[in-house]
Amino acid sequence: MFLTILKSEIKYWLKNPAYYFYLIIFFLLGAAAMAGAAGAFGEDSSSVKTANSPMGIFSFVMLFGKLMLFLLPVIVGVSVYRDHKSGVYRLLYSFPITKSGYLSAKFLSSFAGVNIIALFFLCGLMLGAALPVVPAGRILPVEISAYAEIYFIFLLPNLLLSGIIVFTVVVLSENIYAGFISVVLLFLLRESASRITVSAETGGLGLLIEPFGEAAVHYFTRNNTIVQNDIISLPLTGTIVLNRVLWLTVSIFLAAFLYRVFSFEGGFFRRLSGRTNNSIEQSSAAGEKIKIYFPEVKSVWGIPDKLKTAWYLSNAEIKYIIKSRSFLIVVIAGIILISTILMQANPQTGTKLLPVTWSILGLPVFFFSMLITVLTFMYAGVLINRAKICRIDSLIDTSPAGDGILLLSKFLALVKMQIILLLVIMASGIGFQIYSGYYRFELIQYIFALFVLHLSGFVIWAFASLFVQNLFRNSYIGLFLLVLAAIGISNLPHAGIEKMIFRFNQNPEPDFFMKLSDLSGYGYSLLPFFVYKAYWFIFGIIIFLLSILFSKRGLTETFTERLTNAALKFRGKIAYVILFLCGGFTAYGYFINAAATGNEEMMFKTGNQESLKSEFTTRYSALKEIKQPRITAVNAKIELYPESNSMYAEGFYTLINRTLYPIDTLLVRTGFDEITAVSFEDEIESLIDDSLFNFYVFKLRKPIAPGDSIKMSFNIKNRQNTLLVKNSNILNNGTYLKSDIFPRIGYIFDGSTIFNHYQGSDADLISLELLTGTSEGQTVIAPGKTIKRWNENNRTYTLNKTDEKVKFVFGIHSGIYEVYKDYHLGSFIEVYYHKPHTNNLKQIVDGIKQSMSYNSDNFGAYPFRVIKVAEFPRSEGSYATTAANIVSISEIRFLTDIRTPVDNNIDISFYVSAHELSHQWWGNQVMPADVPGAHMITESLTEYITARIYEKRYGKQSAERFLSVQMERYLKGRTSETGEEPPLYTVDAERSYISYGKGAVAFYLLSEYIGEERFNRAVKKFFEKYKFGGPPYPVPVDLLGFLENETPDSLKYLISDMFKNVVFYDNRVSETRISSLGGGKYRIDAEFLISKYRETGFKGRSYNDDSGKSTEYTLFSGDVLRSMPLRDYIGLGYIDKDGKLIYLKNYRTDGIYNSVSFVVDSEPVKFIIDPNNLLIETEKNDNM
Amino acid sequence: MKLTLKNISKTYKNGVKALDALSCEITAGMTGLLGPNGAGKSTLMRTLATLQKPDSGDIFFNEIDILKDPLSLRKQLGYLPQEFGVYPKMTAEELLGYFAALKGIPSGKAKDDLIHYVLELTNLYDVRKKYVDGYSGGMKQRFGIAQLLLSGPKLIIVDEPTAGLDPAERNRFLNILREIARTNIIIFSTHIVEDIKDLCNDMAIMNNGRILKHVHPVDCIKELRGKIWTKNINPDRLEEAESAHEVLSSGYNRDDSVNIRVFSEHDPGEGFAIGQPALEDYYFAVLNGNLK
Repeated sequence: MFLTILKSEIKYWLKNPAYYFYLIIFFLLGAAAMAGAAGAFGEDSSSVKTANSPMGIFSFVMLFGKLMLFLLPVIVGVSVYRDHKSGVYRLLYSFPITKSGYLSAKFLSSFAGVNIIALFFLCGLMLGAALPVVPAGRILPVEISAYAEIYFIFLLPNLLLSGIIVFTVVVLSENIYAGFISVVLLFLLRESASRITVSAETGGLGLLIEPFGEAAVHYFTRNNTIVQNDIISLPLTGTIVLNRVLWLTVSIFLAAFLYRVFSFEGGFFRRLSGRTNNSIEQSSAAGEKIKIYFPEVKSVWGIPDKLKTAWYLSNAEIKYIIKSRSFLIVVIAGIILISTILMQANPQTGTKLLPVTWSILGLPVFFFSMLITVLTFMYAGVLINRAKICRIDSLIDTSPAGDGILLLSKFLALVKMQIILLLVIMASGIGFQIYSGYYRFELIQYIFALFVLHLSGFVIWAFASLFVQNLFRNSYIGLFLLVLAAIGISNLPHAGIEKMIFRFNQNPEPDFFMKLSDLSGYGYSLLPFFVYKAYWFIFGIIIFLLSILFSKRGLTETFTERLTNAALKFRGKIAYVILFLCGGFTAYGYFINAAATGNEEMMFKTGNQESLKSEFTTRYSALKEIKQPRITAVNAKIELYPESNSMYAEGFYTLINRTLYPIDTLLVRTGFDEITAVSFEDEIESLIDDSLFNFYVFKLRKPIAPGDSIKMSFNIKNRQNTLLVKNSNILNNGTYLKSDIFPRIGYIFDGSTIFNHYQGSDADLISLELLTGTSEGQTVIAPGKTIKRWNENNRTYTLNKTDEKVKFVFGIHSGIYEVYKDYHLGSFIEVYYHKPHTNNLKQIVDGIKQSMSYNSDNFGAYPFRVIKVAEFPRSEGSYATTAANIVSISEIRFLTDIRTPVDNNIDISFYVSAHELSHQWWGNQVMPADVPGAHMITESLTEYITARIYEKRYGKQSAERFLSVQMERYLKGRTSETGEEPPLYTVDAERSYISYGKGAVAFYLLSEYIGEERFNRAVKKFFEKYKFGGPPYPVPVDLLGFLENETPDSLKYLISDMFKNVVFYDNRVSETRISSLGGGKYRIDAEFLISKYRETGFKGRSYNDDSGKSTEYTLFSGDVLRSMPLRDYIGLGYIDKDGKLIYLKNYRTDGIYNSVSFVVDSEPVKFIIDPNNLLIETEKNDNM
Repeated sequence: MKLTLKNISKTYKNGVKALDALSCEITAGMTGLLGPNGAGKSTLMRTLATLQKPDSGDIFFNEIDILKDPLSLRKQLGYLPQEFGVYPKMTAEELLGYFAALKGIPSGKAKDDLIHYVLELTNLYDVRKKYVDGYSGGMKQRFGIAQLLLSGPKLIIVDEPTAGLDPAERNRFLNILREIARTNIIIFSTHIVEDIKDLCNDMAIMNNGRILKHVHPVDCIKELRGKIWTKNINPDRLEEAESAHEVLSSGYNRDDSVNIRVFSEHDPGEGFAIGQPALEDYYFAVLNGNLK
């Protein structure tokens, strides 16, 4: 009997065309994905990964594995649901078949079916890698074993687990949709679990809970570089194996559970709830005479009546949805998901954001939106097919309600469902805010975001879902196609389709919902959003009307019949409306496409900066050596128009010839976003006028003599804003306009020189005078001293002048601000903030003060009388920066939840303001030369100083935590390194993981080893030599020189290892023995191995030092350990039974093998090397 | 009030000719459609109910061309299929509300009254707050009538409604139909002759997609008068009798003998006695092709 069922099952699928459809789809998806990733459809510059590396295959399998999950209800679920639906179930009872025979035959056959699809997918991947169109560079020789490993360790067990879950759910609930829901829930479990994982530093529980093993793999490859990922096969660490075993066990238990409770009589849940299936019986009164008169009730069929009818019917549909258990479960799961996301702290700093409305409307809503979309897909199918499934279709089909009414009622029900789910989000969001003690409820903000912005997208999906489900009349195929389409549409740009008019229901700005700011709202992106939503809404109506034509009534018709019927119905009003809408849709599309195209030149310029730059170099490299004057003063009047998001500026530069020769040729570059005109007092001749690069060359009739100066005037306005694109950085509130709007002098400098500082090729320090106008009610924060502020013609003007010279890099803020004032060490502190953002003022000011104190105590005085802190909207970024006497800090740093205890977290607002103010010394007073490694002087040193400030404020332990975050940043950052990792002293601006992460660790380590005082003394000498100095500017070795002078010879290896090379330790404890000596004394005997290597070239490893020496040690096992020669100091410590870390000593090792013994006063539990986490090591877990 | 069918043909994909140039005219009253399984009854009923389109032919209800304008017919149509299900977790009241909406009846007191009225009429008032999917077969069937009555239909199509009803329920059910039929057309398909005998003023016998006879039940009894002969025989001789006579039906008696009814214009002799003609005899005689 087992075999009979097995055979008939296989036969069923082999005869089913849908099955072949799935096979082909997955095969093609595999091939296309692999070929695409390898660059067959044009260069995808974002990654240079090998497409078919084990990690590459793994990520494809994980991505498409999610789509495969939707096959489980379709194939595995349907295999039993079919029997249930047709009632065969109960007949089976009378056949000589066992439960186990029935269940296993059903499951195995359908599961095999799914696996064949999975194997086709893998074959697709292999084929994709072997296609002739694939460029060779991104493909390794195909290794079958890698595919096999991923299949057997991940894909198969994941499908098995999900398959058994779906099978169990469908068998017990006798409801196929419950099967779909369980897939969606698996999804959510995965999402929340991987979120838990991200936050946990040690991996922890999340790695086990996440049912697909994906989080665990990502966790264990997190410190692998791209190249390592290319060659290394997947890690099969204990946790990953445990994860696999755990979920395999769960699968087995589930299967056993199903076997126990399954009964051919069905009705598991009825039995569970004690309800019986007995029908209501009613004794029928026998044939009394009946007189029938009909009450006069008239049917009404006017348009409003039809709409009312549709509304009424939709209520019945929505009631059905709400009443279903699956829906309730999804809602609960969704709430749990939202809460999990909201509970997450920032993984790096352990701090939480205040639950401001935009934070709830961001990520949580993003995930919940996916849920709403999938539910829309699914319930569209349910509603379309429900009548047929309940066999009430013949009654409904013969009713006089038109197809339009029926379809509209389903549409309305879907929208109502979406609204209910959005209400759930809103309630959970507000609930979470209350729970967190945050009581600023922005209901309008919620309602607008959820019920206007998000709902408009969902409504369009509702149209599409109904169209597909109505066309296919098969919920499973419909759902699958819709999920496929949704994924496909979001990936259209990868297939080269970038025009928005072809990307169904997508937002012109991809992170539109993530940019909402308390200061500037959605800003200019709102208009394009609605322009495109309206466009797709029209499309939605068209497909809705087409759905009416394709509606099916009565007996099964073939598709050709339905086509003929649709053609027959295509006349009269509906035909005109469809034609009219199609015309309108096309014209509208043409119009907005034209509006978007006007901007393509800009898009091209911003999108192809690299190639443009090389084009520029080939065209104009002859001009490179032409000597140029320096900008020494900038006077400008800037008019900001927040209401119209535009600006106008005019002013002049003072250019001085500091060379020894007359200058008669001027090279001028102007901004891409702006329209700029320049003019001179004297006559000039235009030699080059290149609008592609906004590059101009002028010949001066009267050359500038050495030491002489001229004025260069300019006026600047932003390019006109269009319907779809804003061409200026001016916001309605919270504008942060940067000095890059101004024209610059000279050739694009791209090299290194000690004659320019790191932030300017045409100016050293300048004096600055700015007159800024803005809307009345807004405050302007501009560099320098505020000389005057007045109102004129409903506008506010502010005159600013610098009393000390500044770099020609600055920003101007304009917004409705509150101001907080304070005073410290002779300077005024002014914080300009958005009114409700008072939460972190104290820490920000504290950070400023502590930084001012530490830097002035150790290095030199703060140069200005005033320091201004200005808040800017998160839509402009989440960073902070310093220019002149302004510290600009993103909104999000004003919204840290300060109630989280500081011992375990980083006080990020304090840290950021302390860091930025330190730049007043490191970057503004000492300006490094424009050479590689400049950021070691600005960022690394600043991060080190911030760590010290942090330590002073919050204690040693907090500082160490801060440093471990930096260590993590470095180790994580280098995993995506695609080139050769430079040592710290030649780090470039892009590699912030080195300049910040490694820099902080390196300087702190050196400072700890030689002592803070000595370290700071060296730095002070460096500071005093170079502060406010002109060219030549200092380079990293200048700083290292000062440090070397203060470093004893025994520790000089640190400067070489940490700054001049890329060195890693690989330390581990091999044995620890702890014995009690009595009297509260204990003895630790420990053996440990120290090894250190250098990264050379591209990911090479070398154990040789500069002189080519290395050392070796043969382990007991016969393995040989190698290391660079060791004379290194290694911290040693232990953890006692109270969990306290006790530092033992800084131990000097002179070889790989070390053996130590200590007598200590408290009971040790673990011996640790490098207890303070100062040494750079990729794997630290074996250090104890 | 008139329903006219002209040359309706329908051939299914598998080659079965369900309707074969069928023509007939039906007027107010209750018309029974009698025929064996597979005669094409259900196809015809579904076609009349606008659930299916014939390959060729025309159907008019009064002035409505129901093939071209099914929606107009549906406004006057009541249809009770042979078998139907209901939405789960909806009470009779809710579900009738749903159907009333489908039938264009606006919400309000009039609608509620109507629903209560049809519930009372079908004796479901007491269970109106119960889920319909828990109803017994008879109750569900009555619910079918209740929904059918909602819009006061002029043309009522009822496909084998009495199958599975207990006698009392059947009786009540037929009474309701009978009452409605006084002013409207009811077409009632069945293979149970009893149903027709009691109620119908018009009867069509159908087989192989064609209407073989379209008569008044009383007339057909008249037509058979003196042509039905009956006799008890030994079961072993049934085959022999069937080859010798036009046997319409046969049935065991209590003594294990078999009573056969035979159609014959004249006394077949052999001990046959004249029988009282019944509707059933007519039905079999038509199917056997005995009546021209």
